[in-house]
Amino acid sequence: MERDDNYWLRASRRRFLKGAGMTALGAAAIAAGACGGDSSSSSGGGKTPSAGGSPSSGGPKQTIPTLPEISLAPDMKSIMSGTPVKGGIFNPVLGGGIPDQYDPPRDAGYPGLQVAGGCLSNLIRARYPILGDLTIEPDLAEKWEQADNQTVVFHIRPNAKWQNVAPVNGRALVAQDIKNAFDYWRTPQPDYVMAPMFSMIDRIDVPDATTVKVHTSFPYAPLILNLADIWAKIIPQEQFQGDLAKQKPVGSGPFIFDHFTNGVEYVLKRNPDYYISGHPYLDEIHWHVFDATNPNLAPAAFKSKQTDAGGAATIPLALDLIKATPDANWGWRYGVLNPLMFNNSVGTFKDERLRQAVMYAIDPDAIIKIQWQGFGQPGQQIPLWYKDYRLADSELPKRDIAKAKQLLSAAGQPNLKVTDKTFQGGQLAFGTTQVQQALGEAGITMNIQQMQWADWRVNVYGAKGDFEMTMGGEFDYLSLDRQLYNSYHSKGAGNNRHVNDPQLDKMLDDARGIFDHAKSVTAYKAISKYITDHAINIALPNGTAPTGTQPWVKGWFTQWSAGALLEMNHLDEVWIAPH
Amino acid sequence: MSAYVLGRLASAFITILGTSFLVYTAVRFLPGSAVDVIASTSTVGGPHAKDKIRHDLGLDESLPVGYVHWLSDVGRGDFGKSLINGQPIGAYIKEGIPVSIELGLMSLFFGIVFGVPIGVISAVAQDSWLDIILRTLAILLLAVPGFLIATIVIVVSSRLWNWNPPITYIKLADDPIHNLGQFLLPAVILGFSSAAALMRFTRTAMLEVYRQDYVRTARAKGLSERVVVLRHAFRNAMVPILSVIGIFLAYIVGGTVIFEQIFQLPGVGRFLLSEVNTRDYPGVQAISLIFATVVVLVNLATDLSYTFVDPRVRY
Repeated sequence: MERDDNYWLRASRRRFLKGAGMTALGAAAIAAGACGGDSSSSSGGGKTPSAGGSPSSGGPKQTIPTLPEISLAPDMKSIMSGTPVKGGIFNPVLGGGIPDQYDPPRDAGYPGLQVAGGCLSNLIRARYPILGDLTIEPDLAEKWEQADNQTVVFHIRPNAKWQNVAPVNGRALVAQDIKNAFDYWRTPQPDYVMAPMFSMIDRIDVPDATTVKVHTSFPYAPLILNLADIWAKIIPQEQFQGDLAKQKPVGSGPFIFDHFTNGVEYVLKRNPDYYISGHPYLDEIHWHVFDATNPNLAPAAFKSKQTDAGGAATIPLALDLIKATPDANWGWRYGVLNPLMFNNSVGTFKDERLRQAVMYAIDPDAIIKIQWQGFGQPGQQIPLWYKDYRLADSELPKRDIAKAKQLLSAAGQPNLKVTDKTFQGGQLAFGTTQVQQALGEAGITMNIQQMQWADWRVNVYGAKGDFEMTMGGEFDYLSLDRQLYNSYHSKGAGNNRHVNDPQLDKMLDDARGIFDHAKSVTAYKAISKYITDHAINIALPNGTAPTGTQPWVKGWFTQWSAGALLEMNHLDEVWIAPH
Repeated sequence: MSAYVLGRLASAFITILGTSFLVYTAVRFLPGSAVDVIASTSTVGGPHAKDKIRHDLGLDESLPVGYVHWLSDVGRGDFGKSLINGQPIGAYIKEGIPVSIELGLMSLFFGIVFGVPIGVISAVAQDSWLDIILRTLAILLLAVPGFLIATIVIVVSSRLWNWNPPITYIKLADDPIHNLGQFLLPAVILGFSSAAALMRFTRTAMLEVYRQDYVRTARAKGLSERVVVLRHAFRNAMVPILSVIGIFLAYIVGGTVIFEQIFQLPGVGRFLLSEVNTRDYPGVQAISLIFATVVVLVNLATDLSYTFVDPRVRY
């Protein structure tokens, strides 16, 4: 895969907004999933077997989570009960601010993805409920087959149509449109963020109006998961010109973008020509934007029943809101990955012993207690909600000051001085203060260098990776290939840590070709352990955040990953019970 | 008179021109490269993204040439396009201006309605318990920022009564009751903040006038206290009060930025804040220029209105 420097900038913007930005607010409303695994690679029409094992759902309701299992499911039995009713307006809170644009393949931001999510379709879509299992389901493709390790055949719904709005005006959506969308994603320009995920596609055949055959240049198992990603939206060719797709989401989704009041409300209306019979149930969706710098506003609107879905940005506010809304449904999910990143190739941390010394000096408990106010969990290299891929506690490093000092001495740096580059205010996020204190106890002096935020993001957090060490929330993707290959492969588009480890490269290359779920789990767990053991990256503890819906919101709940926004692919299933 | 008005108009024009120059050049003097800042946050893509941003900002032209081009576009009502989504800035402004004007005027109304009469009462009842209470209240309102009061009101009303102001904006013409229901609370709170200062100023102006011979003469003529206060004292105190109201309007214009944000009002203030957050500088330039122009014009109008309030004032 060719390196795309700008890709990282684009990806990091999203990751940062949802990661660092939200963790800085204490929201940490992100969790997401991916696997390079089998569930995607097997399959056919209908529901895809889960990647994981255990049965899904059904946690206790209204229970404040306690460690160690902090992620609780809502009462899905109650949410899914009843006969769907047509009509009504759904009023969710738009997370992350004001939409910048609406073109997911060209890196729409977090708010834009939510609004566009209801208007645009995927070829296939993913579902991963809190405490549940990952399933891949049909969307525009009613079924698909993995013909061989390098060929997937998709069968498009014969009744699929574009929305009856300009410029597509309700024309039939055919296989050629899917091929065009693939070509759009693969446009060799930096802001086409899906391009690296589909660069291995060799050719696409369209034998008839409802069949699309995708051939890859080598066996690539994560293709299906990449297609279920919220960014892999099918855009009509009429929107390819210039920035048309950025300005208005026009597609084949269950809702038609109607109008917006800038920075306040974004209104979608029912698509009467939607290809899934009887869906969507709602007449309208009104996305509401609240001032993120005043965390009281969104909870107040939820409490006064003016919004139907939302949460709170801080733990105290969340607990207060949960207490004040006893009838609402609440679930808790993990925050974004919270990495401490090293420059693995230049300077101090080229020496693995020094990276390990930092790893053993850090006190995860202090970060959980102070930064996450008790609502956090030890981090891993793979998103925690990807439960099959979690390493056992015994495989995770434990704090060991003596060992840290021993490693420092062995490396000839008993009084190591390091600089953590961060942005203004960043020292209050991610557990930075607790890391500084913990390192100090091992004899490591950690200086904090504050930078202008944009400067930090471009030059430190971005592909340039001009840092010795830095901390910042990292977005979690539906595809582990996108997650790990991009960040840790020497040719990865997002390798800002300057990792150049032939053994890790081989592990990542090999994992891409594994279609068997169990083997894939083994491979990715081995990669996770390798990254951990060699302290290529330190996974600091993740925060958690609650997400809630009013009792009348039925048929739908936010998924385990806030970052992957999988629930936006299922807005056609929401219905409002009479209340 | 006409010479004075022309002079003030010329001075207002120069002030606006100077402001526009500052607003335009600010982008060039931001720490680091403004283009890098924008490129890191905007979705302008492609290998020539920075060149495009530089061109859109007029940074590929010399400062004077770029400024003249930008100013001539603004003069024609073209504020440029958003670097974030390519939408014309003018459309947002057109949509937001009525909201901000409504909030500003309602706030000014409440500021005057509360501030001036209370200031008069406080002056009339100087050093009484009522005066002390009103002055204490004014100092309290001055000391506590309006946005904090607004947040407290929202949190308390939400906690006690599960009530929150409407979050969906509906135009005044479409549903006046809903619209006023949404604007009332922010307008009252924003108005209160200016009312406190206005009350203090009115009280001082009234006390000053109260000591004048013509007030004593009016009382000696046997006029009722009401006539003395309203016709003789208050009217003469109006000149300095008017000038302060002009300044308050500028304060209110600034206040709308925060209050629109807190109360979900889609005005230009909220737009400005979002533009600052996304570093969408054409929008920031446009709104800053509009705010500055409004403040300058209001002050000009205030100056010119003196002649109507006080016949002794001649230009």
